[in-house]
Amino acid sequence: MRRYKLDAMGVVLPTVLVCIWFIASASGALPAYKLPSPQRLIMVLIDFATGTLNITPYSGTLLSHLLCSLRRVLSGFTLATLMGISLGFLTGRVSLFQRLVDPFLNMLRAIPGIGWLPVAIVWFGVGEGNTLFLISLAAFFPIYMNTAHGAKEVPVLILRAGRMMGARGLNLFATVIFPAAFPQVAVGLRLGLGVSWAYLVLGEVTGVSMGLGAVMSDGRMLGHVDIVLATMLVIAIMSKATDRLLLYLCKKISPQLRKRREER
Amino acid sequence: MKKGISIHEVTKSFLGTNGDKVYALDKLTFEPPHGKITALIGPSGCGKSTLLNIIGGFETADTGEVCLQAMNGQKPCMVFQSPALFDWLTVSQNVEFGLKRQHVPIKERKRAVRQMLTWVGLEAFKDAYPNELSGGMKQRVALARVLVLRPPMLLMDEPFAALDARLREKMQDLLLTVWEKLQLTVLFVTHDVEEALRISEQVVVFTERPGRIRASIEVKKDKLSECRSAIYKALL
Repeated sequence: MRRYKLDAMGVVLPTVLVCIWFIASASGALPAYKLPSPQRLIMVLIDFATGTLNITPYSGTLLSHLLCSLRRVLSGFTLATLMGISLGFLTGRVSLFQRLVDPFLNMLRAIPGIGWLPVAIVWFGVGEGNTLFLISLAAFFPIYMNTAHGAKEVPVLILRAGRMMGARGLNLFATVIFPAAFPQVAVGLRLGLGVSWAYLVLGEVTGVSMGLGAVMSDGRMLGHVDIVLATMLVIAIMSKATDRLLLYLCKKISPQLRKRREER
Repeated sequence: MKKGISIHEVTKSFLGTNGDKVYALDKLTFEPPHGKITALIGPSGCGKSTLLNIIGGFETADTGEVCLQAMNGQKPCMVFQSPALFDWLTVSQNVEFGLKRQHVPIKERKRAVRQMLTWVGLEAFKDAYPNELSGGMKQRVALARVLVLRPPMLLMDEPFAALDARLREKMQDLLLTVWEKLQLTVLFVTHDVEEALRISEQVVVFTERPGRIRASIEVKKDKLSECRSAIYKALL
């Protein structure tokens, strides 16, 4: 199976940057408290994961923090998915519902996600509830918007064909409307998952003891820029990995997505 | 009881862009011959497709009625101008769709699908997805998925208009072959006189909007050129 075709040109710029970074650190032009050397960063990352080197206070704690963060992201994202998909389909297919609910939701959408942070802390306290609220709120909008759009744009001939062949009501929804709209829903899900990771960090830096955001916040206060950077890398990798997994699942559900990718 | 369908004084209007009522069909009365292929021909916008949509139950007439007798509660099926296939299903799943909704047992279903795919010559593509097929193949799937339901009546809305001339002829032949097997009533909208002559036994010529019937011409295979000139005369 051909999955990845790595374009060598994409590697050039990062390689050059790492080289400059290496030279700048080695020559002492960059103080380590601002930006540690690349080799130090790699060591810290390995130590963070395995705990074999004991070079930072966070040695070997990666897994527990990661699992904690992953649980938050998944629960927030799941909540956003359930709400976004159900409300999105209602808005897209039921015009009364759209007229009733869509303007209000769009009003809420005008408030930037970060703007909810103070009030979320007041309502849910620092920690679990606040993070879950922020993640699910932020991830909700892209899922909702894309689902509503996809549901609305199901071609009328497709609906007619479905009805003509005997699909009605919920059956029509399950066998025609949902699968026809799913590629657009998938776009919303992927955007929503990306946003989930962003808001995870926002929720966690505000003062929880466990989680990747907590490590970043803690590391900054204790002057450990290396661990902050290492955590950033972990988040980037996790975000990419979960996106890949989501894409894989979406393609399982929706063969037309599979084909579209292959055509490219 | 009389067989087939009859259309009695059907009127359908739309709101035009300037807010005026535009009549697509005006008191149209017409009885397509049962078990035969009837071509509906006329200038574009004369309400042929609207008539098909009303018969198919996709639109409702303002006044008048469409009587569907002797159909055992079955509804007419339609092949649209574009295939409108379900691109999340394979070819055989597309054909199976209607049977599944009718809860036909799986064995019977599979057999019917296989037979239908053989008829339209797509057995080799049963596991392909619609976006891997050419335009003509897609339209053959669209034909197969309704024929498998054994509808008493088939509505076709310029189904081959998007295909090139050679392929169109092939599709017309295919339609004639399956029609011979099933002997169903077919209403075939087209704007191509040659197509109408080739497939139908009766050509109904529509006037410009609002659509009324100007002429109904029986196609006699031994007097094609006379029929042709009669149709052209009615179209002018």
